Amino acid sequence: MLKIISKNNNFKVVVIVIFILAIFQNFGFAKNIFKILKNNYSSRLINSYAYCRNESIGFLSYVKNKYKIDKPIQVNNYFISPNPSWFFFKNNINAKVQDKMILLGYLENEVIKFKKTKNEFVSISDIKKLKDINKIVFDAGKHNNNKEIKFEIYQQIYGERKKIYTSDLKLISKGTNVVELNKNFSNTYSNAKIIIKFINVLKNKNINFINLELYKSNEINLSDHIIYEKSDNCYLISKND
Amino acid sequence: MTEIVSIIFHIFFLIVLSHLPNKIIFFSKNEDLHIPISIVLLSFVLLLMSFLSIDLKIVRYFLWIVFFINLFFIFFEKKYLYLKNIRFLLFLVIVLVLSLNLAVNLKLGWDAQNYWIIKSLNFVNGENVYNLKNLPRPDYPYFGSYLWAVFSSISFLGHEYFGRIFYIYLFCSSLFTICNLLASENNFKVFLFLLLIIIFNNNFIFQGYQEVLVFSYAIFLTYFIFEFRNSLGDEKIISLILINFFILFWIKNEAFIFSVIFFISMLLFLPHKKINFLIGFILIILSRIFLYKIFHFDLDLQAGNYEKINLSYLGEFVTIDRILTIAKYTIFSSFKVPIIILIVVSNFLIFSLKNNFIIKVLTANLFLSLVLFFFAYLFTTFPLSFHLITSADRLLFQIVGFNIILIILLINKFKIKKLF
Repeated sequence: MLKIISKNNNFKVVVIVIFILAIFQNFGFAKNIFKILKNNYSSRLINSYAYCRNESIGFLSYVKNKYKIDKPIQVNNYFISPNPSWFFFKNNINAKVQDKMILLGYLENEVIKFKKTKNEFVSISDIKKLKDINKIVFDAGKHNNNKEIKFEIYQQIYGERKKIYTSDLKLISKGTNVVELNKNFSNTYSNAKIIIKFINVLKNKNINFINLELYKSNEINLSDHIIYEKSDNCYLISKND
Repeated sequence: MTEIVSIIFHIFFLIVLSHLPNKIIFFSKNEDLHIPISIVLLSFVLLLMSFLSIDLKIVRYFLWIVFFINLFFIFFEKKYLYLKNIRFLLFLVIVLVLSLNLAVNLKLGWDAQNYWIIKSLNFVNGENVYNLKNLPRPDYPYFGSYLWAVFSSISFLGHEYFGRIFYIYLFCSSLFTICNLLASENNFKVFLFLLLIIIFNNNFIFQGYQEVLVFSYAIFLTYFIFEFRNSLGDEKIISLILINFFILFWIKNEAFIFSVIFFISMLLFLPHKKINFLIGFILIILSRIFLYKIFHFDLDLQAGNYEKINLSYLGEFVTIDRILTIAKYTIFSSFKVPIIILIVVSNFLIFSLKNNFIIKVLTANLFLSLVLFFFAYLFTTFPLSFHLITSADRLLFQIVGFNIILIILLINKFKIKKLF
């Protein structure tokens, strides 16, 4: 009888020990101790994020230390991620850094590429904001010469789409076509895919567009600013206003 | 090494804080209730201090005084006998393991970066509750961020994540507490606690999301109602439960709605003293509205959403397509919070086996919460799939907090202890 009880108890202890070890393994207990001993808080914070991607805490930390930024600073984050302004958060808004600003994921001219589905073009990546859209460029085949087309632009987020623009009729020609837009689409979905649909065109089997690209410029022109720091697409620049 | 020692001391500090002297929690002889009651009472005092805009430095002094008083009484009242049992030590080890994990993986979640840490830094930087109206989402309650600020600034190193260690401590305490309800031997309680830690391993616990607080305080609430089910007419118990509701009101707007649902479910089946509860509950709702006005917070429960709710738009929202989308993503979200399935099954089983006050309350609450969940998405004006993908799992996690006790009750009913 005693043996059975003892065996039963051992079984319980073994099960609990297995669970504890599973938790240790799952949460990387030993590895975490090593990392805490090896890296200080700042480097662990930087390692938890990317250096110049998404919140780019690595880059922010670098410029914060180098330029002794101890006040809130304007951060324009063009990556699809939360704005990491909290990294510089201080309550006194009036004490903001006046002469510098930070750009994360900055592209002076962005070319948005599309893949073609059955009867529309879908942007390969998500677009944070549809501002400063300059032009649409596409190649048309020889059968498309002197055809009139119209196109619609949609934003789509997880399958749900919203029409944001319908163009006038455009006359297209064989080869590369450029349609100037120069538009800001405000109050639309953030971080959405762009869909471009050509009307009365794709129904015609002889007409086939390829290499659709949408050109987007940035509201900030770097040539007007002093660049203090640059790492990939992350910048610390002068603020001109 | 300094940092690891600081983490260990911080956990020790939290443990001592959550053991108020017996003189204060005299109405419960159950030692397992000391941590939840202490946490709820202390949280309430901190909430009041935040209303009064008391400087964080004074709040820190207050907590140190409470720490030393508690420490004295832990020895004077021989509470260390409870603290040194193997089950509690194991609980501490788990809190430590999770805290070390947090110390290495410091990344904050999306909402935590956009709203919650900013509210927390508001207090850390010496501002008070009145300044929150100038920060993003003044319609969101702030108490979770306040706790984050208090416990990060009281730590020796002052790092932000020490505030989040309190979230971990709270989360583990709630699971530890609920496991104590098992009518089984200690081994099985330990086993279930560890199992729940493994099951609940998700980002909500570490990344500064407020759902973990709602989950934990909701567990305390249901535990209190279960434990004091025979003395729910007692003013002290009513006060404790209302305080717990009030704390939930100040963490998230969803928590406020779920609390109202829970209260309605409770009121429906409460055998006596309904009027005291009702008056108390109305008073805490009114005080929330009043304080929101005082602090100039927006009273919208989700600003920017549900703007088109009226009969003329009904046909636009109530469509088969939308219903199927909700069903699809609810199933997907259930994989992230699998325990919700177990809760629904437990509820079904236990309701057919036993039908007392607690079971009725929990059944009504679970049903109403899931109905609310469904309608919240059916009438959302955000893109439906996007809204579901980004929030359904977190909403389910909160519902789990209010109903997880059903699993424990079912285990007790079947006396599963014999199997282990």
